[in-house]
Amino acid sequence: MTDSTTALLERVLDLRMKAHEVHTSNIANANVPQFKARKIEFDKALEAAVTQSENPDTLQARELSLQAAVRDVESAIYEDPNAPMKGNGNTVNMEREQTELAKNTIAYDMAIQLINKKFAMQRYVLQEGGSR
Amino acid sequence: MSEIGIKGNGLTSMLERQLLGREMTAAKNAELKGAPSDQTSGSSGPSSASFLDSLKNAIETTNELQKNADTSAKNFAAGKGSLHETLIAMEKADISLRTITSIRGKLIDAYQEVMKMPV
Amino acid sequence: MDVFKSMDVIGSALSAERTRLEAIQSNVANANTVRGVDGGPYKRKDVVLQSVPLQNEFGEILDSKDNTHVEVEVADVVEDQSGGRPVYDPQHPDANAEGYVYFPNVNPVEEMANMISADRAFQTNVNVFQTTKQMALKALEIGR
Repeated sequence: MTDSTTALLERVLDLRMKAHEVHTSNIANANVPQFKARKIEFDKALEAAVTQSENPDTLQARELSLQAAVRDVESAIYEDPNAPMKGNGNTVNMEREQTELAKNTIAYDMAIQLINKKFAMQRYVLQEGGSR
Repeated sequence: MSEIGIKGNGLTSMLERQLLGREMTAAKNAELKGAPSDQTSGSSGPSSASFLDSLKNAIETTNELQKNADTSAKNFAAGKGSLHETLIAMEKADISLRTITSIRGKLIDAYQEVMKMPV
Repeated sequence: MDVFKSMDVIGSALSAERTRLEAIQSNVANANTVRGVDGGPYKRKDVVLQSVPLQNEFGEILDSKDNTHVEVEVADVVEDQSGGRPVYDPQHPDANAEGYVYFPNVNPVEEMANMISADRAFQTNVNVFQTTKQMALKALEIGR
């Protein structure tokens, strides 16, 4: 019922929500001794899913390919082994975390808006179609 | 009419069928009722031919804009493009969809008017 | 995404200026530390910043004209190697055979000036970040 672009945007929302949790928890633990900051990555996975679904020839094959690829996109969450440590063993970089949080929030808002727009267009056509 | 083809996403193809189906029927009925040929006939008269052409163009443009909007959304997910480009592409798709839908509405209204005419 | 790259650049500046501030704090706090970690007086720290060489996705170095997003990073934290400032004080427990004690090479006035510069840079970057965020949020109003 939903097209592959909407499914992709839904996945983006899931991933961004998870990123939100990772960054807020890092910020909350900024002064905890020995706490190791966690990183979350999914940019490359999303990009791969989108570019490889451009390959098939027909529109339907591309749709199916993207739907399948979107389901497989996973986020990688891990402790950064190269993160510089503060005196108490804590590796949280406050500026980095706040920057990432701001970026993530904007991307989340953006995905919400795009999905809203798509649904609004579908609803509009259906309503207009039924009114005559 | 079939040379436009049903391509792209489902929204514009649905409209295409509705628009062109009605238009063809309206044209045929107008001919049968003997209305002047340069007003509603589908095949004769230069003004109606260009109307149909611009209709075809409008549908194709809407289709293209829908595809562009989808592509921008995908690019945004992949991290490419800019915020405003993507949002503007979405907006263009929305506006052209509403335009074509309202044209369709007007055409249907016109068809119904014609059908009500006592001949 | 363009706006995100801008935010990365600003974030890198915030990190770098913060590191500068930390080095200055450390210097000022240890201005009179005669016994540093390696023996001898505390060595004054100086933070060296550099622009991150611009790379495309294949890791090749790009011409700087092509890119408007230039991040900043801490190249090195350099410790003062001069051995400190000798002060004549034979009564001091750490005085050497000639009666000289070596103090860190920290000039409070210089550190103050550096601190103001780093703080100002930090503040400016925060303002730039806010502006960038405003622009992005404004863009999101398109078609709302």
